[in-house]
Formats: sequence, C-alpha cells, structure tokens
Amino acid sequence: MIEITSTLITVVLIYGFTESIILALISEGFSLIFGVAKVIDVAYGAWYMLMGYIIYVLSVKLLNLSVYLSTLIGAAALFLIGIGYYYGVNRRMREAPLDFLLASFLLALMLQSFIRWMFTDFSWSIPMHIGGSTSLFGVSVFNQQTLAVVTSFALLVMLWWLIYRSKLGMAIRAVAQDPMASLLMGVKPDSIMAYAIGLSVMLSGIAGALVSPVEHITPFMGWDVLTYAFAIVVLGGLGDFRGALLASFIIGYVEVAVLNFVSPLLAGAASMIAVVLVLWFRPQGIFGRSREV
Amino acid sequence: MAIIYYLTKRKIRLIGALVLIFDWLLPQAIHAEYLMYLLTIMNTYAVLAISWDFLFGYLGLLSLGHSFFMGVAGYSAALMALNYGIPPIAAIFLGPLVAIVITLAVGLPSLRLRGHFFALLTFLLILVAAKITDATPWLGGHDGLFGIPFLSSDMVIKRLLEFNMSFVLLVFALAVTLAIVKSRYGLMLQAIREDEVAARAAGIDVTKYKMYGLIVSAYVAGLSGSFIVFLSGVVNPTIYGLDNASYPLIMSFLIGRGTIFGPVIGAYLIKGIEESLRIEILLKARLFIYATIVFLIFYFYRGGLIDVARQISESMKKRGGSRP
Repeated sequence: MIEITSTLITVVLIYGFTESIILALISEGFSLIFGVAKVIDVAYGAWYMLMGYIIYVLSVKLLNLSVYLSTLIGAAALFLIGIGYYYGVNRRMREAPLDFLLASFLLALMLQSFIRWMFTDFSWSIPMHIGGSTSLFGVSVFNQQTLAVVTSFALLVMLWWLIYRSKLGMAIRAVAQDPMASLLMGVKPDSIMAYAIGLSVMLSGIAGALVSPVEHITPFMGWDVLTYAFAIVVLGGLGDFRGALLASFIIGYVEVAVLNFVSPLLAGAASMIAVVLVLWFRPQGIFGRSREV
Repeated sequence: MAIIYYLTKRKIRLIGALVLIFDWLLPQAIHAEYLMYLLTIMNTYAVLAISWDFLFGYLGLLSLGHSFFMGVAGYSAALMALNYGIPPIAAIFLGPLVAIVITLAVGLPSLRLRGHFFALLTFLLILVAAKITDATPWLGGHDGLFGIPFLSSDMVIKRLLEFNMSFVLLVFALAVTLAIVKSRYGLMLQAIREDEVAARAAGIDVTKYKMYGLIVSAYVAGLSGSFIVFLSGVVNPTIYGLDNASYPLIMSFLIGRGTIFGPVIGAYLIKGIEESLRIEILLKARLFIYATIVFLIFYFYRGGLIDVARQISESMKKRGGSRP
C-alpha cells in the first residue's frame, strides 16, 4: 500500500477529472452506435488507435504537417471511414447483430495486426498540440491534458445539443426508436445511421488524438478503450446519455484511485470487477432505465 | 471441381474421420521427432477450436476470449503440479475444473442477457485476466511460472507420449461434443440458437442449458490449455493473448461453423502451415493474413469454405442444367 497524503489526494482528484471527461467522450461515442444501430462495435478501440498512427505518419514519419492539421485530416478521414463502415459492413449484417460483432472483431484484429506488422510493437510518441505544463493546486498538469478536458467538454455539449436539440438529432432518435416508422415520416434511416456511425468513429478518433500525445501509441492501446467504453455503458445503462456521463466519472475516479493507491498494474481490472458486479445485481444499469440514444 | 463439391457438410465428417486415423497412424509408423511435435500442436489447437465451435455453432454463444478458459486451466494445472505434486496427467484433467468454477462465477449473469454482452464480456475477461496475472506474485507475474514438469522425464518416450496424449484429448473432445450434439440435448441447444424466445415457449430452460453448454465448452477448452502448459514447461500471461483468443474463431470460420469436424481441419491447416513452413512473413503478419482471409470469406459467404464450395457447385449445376 502507498501512503495516502494530501498531495496524492489532489493528484487523484485532478487526474481523475481529466480521465473521467475523456472517458465520457469515449463512452458517448460508443453508446451512440449502440443506440442507433443496436450493435456493439468491437472495432471502437481500433479507431482510437488508428488516429494515433494517422497523426504519427502525417506529422512525424512521412510529412512534417502540424499536429492540428493532421488531427483535422485524421478526424475527417475517420468520419468517412465510419460512413463506409456503415454501408460496407453494418448494413450488410443489419439483421444479424452477432455477425456484425464478429465482423467488427475481425476488422479490429486486421487493423491491429496490420499496424503491428508495419510499425512493430514499439511505443512511438507523437507531438503534443500544446507543449508545456501548468501547476494546478500544486499538481503539475500538461497543457495537453487541459486542452483534452476543454475539448472533450465542448464536444460533449455539442453532442448533447446535436442529439437532443437539433433536427438531425430528432431524426437520429427517431431512427433509434423505429427505422421503419421514421422512413414513413420522411427520414432516411440509412443516411442517418451512416452519419451517426461516422460521428461515433470520429469521436473515438478525436479522443485518441487528445490522449495519445501524453502517453505513447502502441498497436494494443485500443483494447483498453473498448474495455472502459463497455464498462461505462453497462454501468450507466446502454443508450442512456446521463447514465453514461455519471458512469464515466465513477469509472474514471475508481481507475485513477486504484492506479495511485493500490497498483498501476491493476488499472482496468477494477472497472471490469464493477461490470461483473453490475451484471450480477443490476443488469439494467445503475439508473435502471434504458432511454433512446 | 468435383472434389470441392464433396466437401459439403455431410462429407466433412468422413474426411475428418480419415484425417483422424491418418493422424494417429503416422507417428506410430515414422518416429520423427519434429513430425510428432507438429501433430501434437495441431491436435491441441484442434481441441480448442472444437470447444469454440461447440459454443458458437450449437449454442449461438459467441466467445471472443476463448483463451480465458485456456489460461485459467493452464495456470491451475501448473500450480497443481508445481505446488501440490499432482502428476501431470491428472493435472491436465483437473485444471479445467477450476476454469469451470471461475467461468460460472463471472459468466453466469451475462447468460441471462443478450448474446453480444456475452461476447464482449468474454473478450474483456482475457484483457483483465492478463492484467491481474501480471500483478499477482504467486502466479509468477509478468514472467510466469517456470520448471513445470513434462509428461515424462524420459526424453525418448516423451514426444510419443505427448502425441498420444494430445490424440486422446482430441478424441475425447470430439466424442463429448458429438455425443451431446447428436442427443436430444443437442436438439434443445440448436433450438436455443435458432430462436431463444420460441425455445423458452417450448418449455426449454434456456439459461440452464446455456450454462451446461458453457461448462462443457470451458472444460474442453481448458484441456487444451492445461496440456499446452505441460508441453512447453512454462506459462505466462501471453496465454491469454489475442493469438489464442482469435485462433479458434479463425479456424472454425475458415471451414465452416457448427460442423465440429470443420474446426479440426481448420486447425490442422492453419497450425500445420504455420509450424511447418516458418516463412518470415507468416511469422510477422500471420494474424493479419488470417484475419483478412477469414473476414473476406465471412463477408461474402457466411458459412466458411464449405459454403463457398456449396455455392460454386450449385451455380455449376445450374449452368450445367441450362445447357441443352
């Protein structure tokens, strides 16, 4: 056991917050694809990882583009990949969700092993968007992390507005409820689902772009993201915006607390134990209701 | 092309049986060390693939983390042999029992939920199991456990003994799964796979039979795990890795799911080519190559190579029929 001091508690409070808000962004994207298309995207972490490598290739390895530009290119590319992913894979397997799950697993496996083959297991680092660090209540925080918190918060607000206040969001919610009925109301379920999945893939990538400069990029980093996203949506109830938000803060703080107070090796295990407990006692999630989207 | 036509689902049992007989006879006739080792590895992975195919092909439960059963059984068998002096052959059969207990504790609640929860939960289990094993000193941590006794200390008979053991395990796995599939329980399991609600309406206790199926699959998969530990003499967290998790899936989907013998042939093909050729690109990018091939087959023909063969032969028949 590590001795608990007041600095350590501040560290946990601050880093827990940065971790949680990133997790919220990740899990909202994950729950979007589930809410609209009623499938689980096992490749969700692979997009996160892919973004790290897109930035690595564009900004470090081949061209010397600025990180902002390569992030934008990467986000746009991932949005298009997501739309292609819907038309190519998801729509083909719409009537069999388990087939889609399997296909997305194989796709994630392909992506991961391809990147492992091309770039080896070595953990490369990619440049930060903003360098330097600031002292916050005596704890040093990278400016990159501050940027990640601010951007995630802005994106979460925008996502909430998009889904619950805009016309496109109304269409998304309508398709999530009943694709056939929404077709009768003049909404094209195909394009709405394609947008939603493109958005979900892009959010995963943006989260990757915000976090990976602080850490390193490895071919395996996507799987942890999938673990967290799954743990959060199970805890919060699938397709529940507020539930997922609350659950991200629970998981985020638990993770950072375990990391600092128990052992860095056990990060990820705690949230998994939480998932198993929830599945045993409250399979419907903490709020006990599953809302649309 | 006529050969492809004969590769349909029914004929695959016959081919499987012939492969099996050939597999047993070959090492008895030719005492080549490497050949025996190769066949041992192929048999071990065939056992793993059978257990996966039983779970998915007959119960509709998709497991993305089949290496979990392998790893838990492997570690338990290794600990039994190292700390309690249980002879390896007994430990091979006892280790998977621990896998059953842990699987039930963790996996039981997800059986009540929809199919994809089970799939994702199994996948996350292996990630977490590897992490917990990494952090636990009495499991050897990151380096794993060493000095696990071999089946026999006599190097001369060791290889043949290992081969025969792997063959026994393969026959055991085939016998158990085929017996269940052919019995009336097999019918119930297939009913659950086809339509869970209808099966429940017909008076089948869905959760109970899923649990039984899970127990059988966990035990058989565990056998391959506890055996491979005594084969190599070491066990470390890589046993939970993606390689072992995706191999049974890839092997089953290559030939055709829900056939029991299909995965055996798939395992023989994949492990046979991989271990005997040892080409540079196959070692570096094997998972990419396998995943791509299986993804493409799955994308265009859901039923694997059997489905490909059937559709080709059907279209050939049609073309032949239209000719005057």
